Amino acid sequence: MAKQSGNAKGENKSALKKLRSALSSAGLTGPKSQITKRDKKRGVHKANNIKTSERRHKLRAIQTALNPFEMKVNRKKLDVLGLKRKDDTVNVAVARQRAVEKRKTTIGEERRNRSRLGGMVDRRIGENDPTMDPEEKMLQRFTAERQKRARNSTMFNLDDNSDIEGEITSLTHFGQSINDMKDFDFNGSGDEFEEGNGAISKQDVAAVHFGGFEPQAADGSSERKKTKAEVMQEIITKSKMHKHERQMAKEQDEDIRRELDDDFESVRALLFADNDNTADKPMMKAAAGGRQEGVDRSYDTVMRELVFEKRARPQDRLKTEEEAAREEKDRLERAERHRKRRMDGLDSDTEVDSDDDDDNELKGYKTANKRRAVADDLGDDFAPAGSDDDDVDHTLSAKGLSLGAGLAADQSSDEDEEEDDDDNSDEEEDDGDSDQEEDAGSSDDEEDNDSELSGGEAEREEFKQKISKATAVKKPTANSNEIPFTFSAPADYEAWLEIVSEYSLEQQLVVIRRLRTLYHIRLSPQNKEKLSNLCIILAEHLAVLAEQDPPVPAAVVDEIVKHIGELAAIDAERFGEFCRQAVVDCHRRVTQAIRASASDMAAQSAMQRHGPSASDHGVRASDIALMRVFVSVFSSSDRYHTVITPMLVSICQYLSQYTFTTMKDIAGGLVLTGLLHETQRLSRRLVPEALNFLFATLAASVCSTDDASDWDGQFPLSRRQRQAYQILRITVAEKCHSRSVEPIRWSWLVSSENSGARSLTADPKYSVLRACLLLSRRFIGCYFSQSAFIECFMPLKCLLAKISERLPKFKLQQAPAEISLLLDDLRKYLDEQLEQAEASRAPLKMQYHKPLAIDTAAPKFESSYSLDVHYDPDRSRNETTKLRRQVNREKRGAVRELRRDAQFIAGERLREQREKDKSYSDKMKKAWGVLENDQSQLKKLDRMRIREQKGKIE
Amino acid sequence: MASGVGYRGTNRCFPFWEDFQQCYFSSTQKTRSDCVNAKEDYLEKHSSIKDDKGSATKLTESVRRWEASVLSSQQNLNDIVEIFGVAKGINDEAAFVAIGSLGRIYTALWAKGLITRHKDRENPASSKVSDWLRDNYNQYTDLLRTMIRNGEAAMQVAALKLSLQMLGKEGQNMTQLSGAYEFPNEGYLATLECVLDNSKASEHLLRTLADSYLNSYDDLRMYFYRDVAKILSPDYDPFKGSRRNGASSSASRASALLEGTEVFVQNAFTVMNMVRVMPKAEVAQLDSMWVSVPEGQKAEPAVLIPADHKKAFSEAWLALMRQPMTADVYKQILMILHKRIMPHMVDAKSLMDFLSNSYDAGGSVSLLALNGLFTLITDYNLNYPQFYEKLYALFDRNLFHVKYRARFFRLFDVFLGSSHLPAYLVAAFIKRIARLALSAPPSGAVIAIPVVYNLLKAHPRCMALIHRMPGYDDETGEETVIEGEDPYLADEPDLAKCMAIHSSLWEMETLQNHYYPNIATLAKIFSEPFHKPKFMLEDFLDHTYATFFESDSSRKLKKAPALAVQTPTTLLRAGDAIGEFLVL
Repeated sequence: MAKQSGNAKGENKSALKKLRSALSSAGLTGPKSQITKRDKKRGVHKANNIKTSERRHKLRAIQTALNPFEMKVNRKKLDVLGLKRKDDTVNVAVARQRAVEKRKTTIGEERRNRSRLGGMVDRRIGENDPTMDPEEKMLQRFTAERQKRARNSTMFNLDDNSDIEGEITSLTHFGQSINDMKDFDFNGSGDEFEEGNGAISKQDVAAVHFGGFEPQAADGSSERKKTKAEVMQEIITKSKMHKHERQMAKEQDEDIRRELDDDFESVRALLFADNDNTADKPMMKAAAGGRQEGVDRSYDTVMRELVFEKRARPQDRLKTEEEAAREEKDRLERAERHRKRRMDGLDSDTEVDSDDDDDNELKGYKTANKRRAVADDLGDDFAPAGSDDDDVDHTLSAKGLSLGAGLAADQSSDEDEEEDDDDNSDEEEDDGDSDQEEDAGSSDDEEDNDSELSGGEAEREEFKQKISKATAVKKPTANSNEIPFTFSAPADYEAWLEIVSEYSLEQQLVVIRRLRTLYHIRLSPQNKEKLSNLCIILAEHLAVLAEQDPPVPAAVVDEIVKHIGELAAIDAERFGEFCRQAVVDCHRRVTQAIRASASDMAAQSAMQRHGPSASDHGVRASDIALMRVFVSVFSSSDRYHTVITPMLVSICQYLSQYTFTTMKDIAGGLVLTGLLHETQRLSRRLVPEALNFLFATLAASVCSTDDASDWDGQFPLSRRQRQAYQILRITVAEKCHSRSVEPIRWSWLVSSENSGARSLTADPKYSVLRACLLLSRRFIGCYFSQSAFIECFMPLKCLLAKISERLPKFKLQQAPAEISLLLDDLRKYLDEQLEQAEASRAPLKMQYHKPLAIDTAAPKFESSYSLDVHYDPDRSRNETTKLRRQVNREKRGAVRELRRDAQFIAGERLREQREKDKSYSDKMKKAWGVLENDQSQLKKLDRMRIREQKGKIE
Repeated sequence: MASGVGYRGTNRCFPFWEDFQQCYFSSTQKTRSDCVNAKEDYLEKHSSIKDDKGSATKLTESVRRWEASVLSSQQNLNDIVEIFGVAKGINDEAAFVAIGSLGRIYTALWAKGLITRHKDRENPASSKVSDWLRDNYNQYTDLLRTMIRNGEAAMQVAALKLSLQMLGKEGQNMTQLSGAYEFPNEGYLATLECVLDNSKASEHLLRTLADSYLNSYDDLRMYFYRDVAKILSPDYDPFKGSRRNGASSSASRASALLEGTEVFVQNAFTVMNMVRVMPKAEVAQLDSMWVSVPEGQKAEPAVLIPADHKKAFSEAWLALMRQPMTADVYKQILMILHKRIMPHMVDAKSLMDFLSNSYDAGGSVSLLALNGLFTLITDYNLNYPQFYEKLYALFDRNLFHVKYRARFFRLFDVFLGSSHLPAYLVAAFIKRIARLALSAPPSGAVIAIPVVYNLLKAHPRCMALIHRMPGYDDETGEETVIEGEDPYLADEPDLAKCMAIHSSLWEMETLQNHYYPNIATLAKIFSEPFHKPKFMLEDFLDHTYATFFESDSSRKLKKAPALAVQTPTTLLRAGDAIGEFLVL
């Protein structure tokens, strides 16, 4: 208000005038009301006193009003309705004053005390703590007091012997330490009490009874008062005494316990009597042979046995069925989740620990499985080993199914033997010891099997010898069928052959089981390697068995596969390496076969001959068997798998580039196609080669070999292959002998007796046709969800139509009903799927992602640009700028504070100096005053004397 | 050798070694090996002579003797007949020596000018001698040709060399006599026919002809081209005279002719393929002549005019291409056509018919013809109607499987490089490629995906193929109802009518699910924003199964391969597809 009035009154007045007018208007200046003495007496001064505070107030108001520069107005950034802010305007002068006062209490105080050394420190609890209210203060002080007192109370603690000298005075009785008083028990010797007549001796009475406790001068030794050291000594001996007593008591307890233990042995004997003979023995002996000799030892051993006895330990609670099931379910779910991740090409590494967990668990699970199986096996093996196996062998050898017999038979037929040898040699190569480069170089020529003379054959010859040696050993003698219970672990295939050469296939299985029991992984750390060796050996053995011409019974193969599957987990890395090597070898053979078939066919077409060499290449039955095992042992649905992916490439190359000329080749191709289906069963990835091969083979049954345009479909077909497919063509002339179509047999893959396929009857052709139809159905089921399903399978529709159109025309009466049924079924199924696919298919929206912003060159425009705001689009840079500004601000503030402090200190110093100066000058003035006074007095006296003298004189 | 000193003091091996030396030091590195081969043959024969056939030794010795006597004196010319006898005899070694010695004799006689027929009235005796010599000489060259035709490899090469040597002498002589350049083309033609129209022509022989002679001597090369064209011309009668021995009846003649043509074409192509030298426009380069050109001649002979060389070259090739040939030769011609034949031709446009016929043939021949055709279109301004339709037709089901796919796609990249192509056309190609990629091996699919990507990137209107919102048509902007049925007509050869632009690339989506992981990853680019400007096609062209397998099987095993969740208990899983049709 004052400010307003000031402003309103005069804009062009000087500050002095303004002040004067303001003062006058406030009634502070002007004619002073006369305060008379009378008034004073009346107490007017009181009123005047009241007025002074008012006056001060007014003065301040005027002061502020007059100096607008002292007011600092804080700018509002956001005007919020109804919000009152305290610091709209800040009086800078006031703030400064406040700061100065604060400094006075802090820095000023420090400054004042800076040269002080001593002083009182108030340590009363909470005295200097303004946050404590008095009650709290009191409470804390009280507890502190209590604690202090409690600490001192140990003095009365009788148990505490360890008094520190000087610290605590011991309790006294008549000035004597109570501790000393205990002594009287001993002094009056206890013996006398016991043996005496019950009367108490005079001495004792004097010493103990009332009136006693006097230091006894009569007693020579004890008449003088004991020194403190002696007292202490006594205390010590006494405490030792006590200790000794305690020990004695403890020993007695021990004795009793020992007795109890001895008794316990008999109890324990009862406990173990029924089951554990071996554990019983030493104990019984200990019981019988008396305790005096080696009781402790026997006790210890028994004790140890007890510790390690499983049944003594509390077992984990058995899982309920539900829990076990859930655990199993969890495990499977996790495994499936990992499999899916791998299928999508994601590494399961992101869940690495769980993965490891999984693996371990898997392993554990498997070993547990094995453990069970082994126990069972052991049980099985024990009793019937002698008799049963004998029988088995007889039956088997009667059928001629044993390996030994098979090999013996092989020796008679040259061709087969050669193939077998060949295979074996290849398996030896798998071991990795042979130089593959050389071998590859030498076996490049197609006459691998025919000409034994080409380079690198020495090695082959060596293998042949080895194998023939092995087969020579393998004479199954009727008497030697007792299978020993232990074997040395075979390190390689040769060692294995040495072990099993005498046994039939069934016996070999027993050998495998026993080997697995003997070298169980839990039994020794070395067993891991032995078992992984065994796994590889079994894989090689399987390959050999797959090549046997009268095929090995499925049960044997299946069991070996089962063993491989279980053993593979033991050293998956090594087994994987082996498998990969096998795949590489197979691929080498595949490329050779392709090359050979190309050249062979060229030669054939030129010369119109069909040499036997054509049938000898192609993928072997052993390869197919091994690959089938790989597919089921490894996680074949992975997007990339170190074994499966190369295998797929190899198979696909074979299917797309090899010229299939014989029934053996075609059967092998079909099995491989089935294999491909098996690998894609879960992942459902497209394998064009499989479809191409399948459709081509399917078409071959009816399409003309001469007319390329007859083979409609997407699959590529070389002229060579078209001509070779002639063997599959079902013509009118051929009769189907049986009414039903028999399946393809494994022996087709092995033997080359079907190589003269030109003279085949229709039966195998129908088998192939049936296989094709079945496989087609499988692949339809596998791929129906693919968006290009229609494109892939529309040709098949036409093809099937053609087949069903042509087939019955030729062979209405001969075509087995099964084929036509199958065909109709397949056509219906395909039509259904195609319809569904067409109905569900929509145009692609592959680019359906967030649209990209178009790059712009226009400058960014800020409508309300402010210097204070940072428009940096880079977030992190913005952050750092912000931080930097904050730091700067703080620094500036700190600097300002320091400067103010310095100013304050300087001001103080100046003030002090002035005070000092002032006091000095005052002092000096005073001194001067005294002196001057003295001087003046002196002079006055002098003058007076002179005047007097003058007066005298005068 | 020391034992083989002839009675007149000449080592009987001497002439051979002389030949060998001459051959060895005068020839290029390549032909040097030929000499060495000949030497080895000789040594082998020599030792066998020593071992088994005393008669051969004796014969060769007498040949030496006779040769020496003929050379020493003109009186002993009759010994030539004796040597002839040996040369025609059954003893190959002796014959080999005999023709060598006859060669030397005739060289000497040519030098003396004795062979030239004179109508010398004054000296009928000398005329008679020279006539006799001439006949004898003709017989000798015929003998050499027969040897080329029938002999074994070493003999063939030797005979060819001698024969050409004789021709050189003859030409030299003729040139000397007439004063103007003359080439003994009649003999050369006959020799060439023997070489080329010969099913027994060894690789060695052809290589000798090409390397030692045609690549080195301009005149031989030019006349070679001329003669090839002449022999292949329809009015050329190979049976004039008695060149062919076994042609008696007209039927066998015809069959022999047909068969002979095939052989001839094969041989001629082999030789022509080996001839790498072609004269440039400068005359100065034409300086290495078998029959040297006399100086100061007024009218320049044809051999010195590059244009004539060019003409001969084109005619020979055109004549060759007119012939029926095996598929192999056909493909090889097409492969070298645009690089090695067309640039040297007088008028490459004359290949137009050949190329367009090849282009229409279909299969890999078409793919190969494309290169030549492209050269014609770009360099020679050929207007090829309906080019893209035919290109479209080339995308048959074998395309991704054939060997020449890389070559084809290199060109295809060029053909569809223009950004001015209509969208329907590009879409048709894209759709067709995608369709084929569905049944292609990984090596084909790996080409198809970048090609399609590049096309889509270059022609954004085709993006509708992979991204089509319902109710909106890219072409017309009208509301469309999209049905499940694919509007694309795969069998429609007309690009404009195949409706590819209205379709979708479901094939590429399916390829994202390819069994080979790299293909699947590559196909994923269609689902991602099209940031990459262009794929370098060259990086994808040379993949095969072998490279894929190699890269896969050589990967390091970082951790143990993942095992299946369920351990197998049987070889064939219950419900396995194989189990349905296979019995163990």
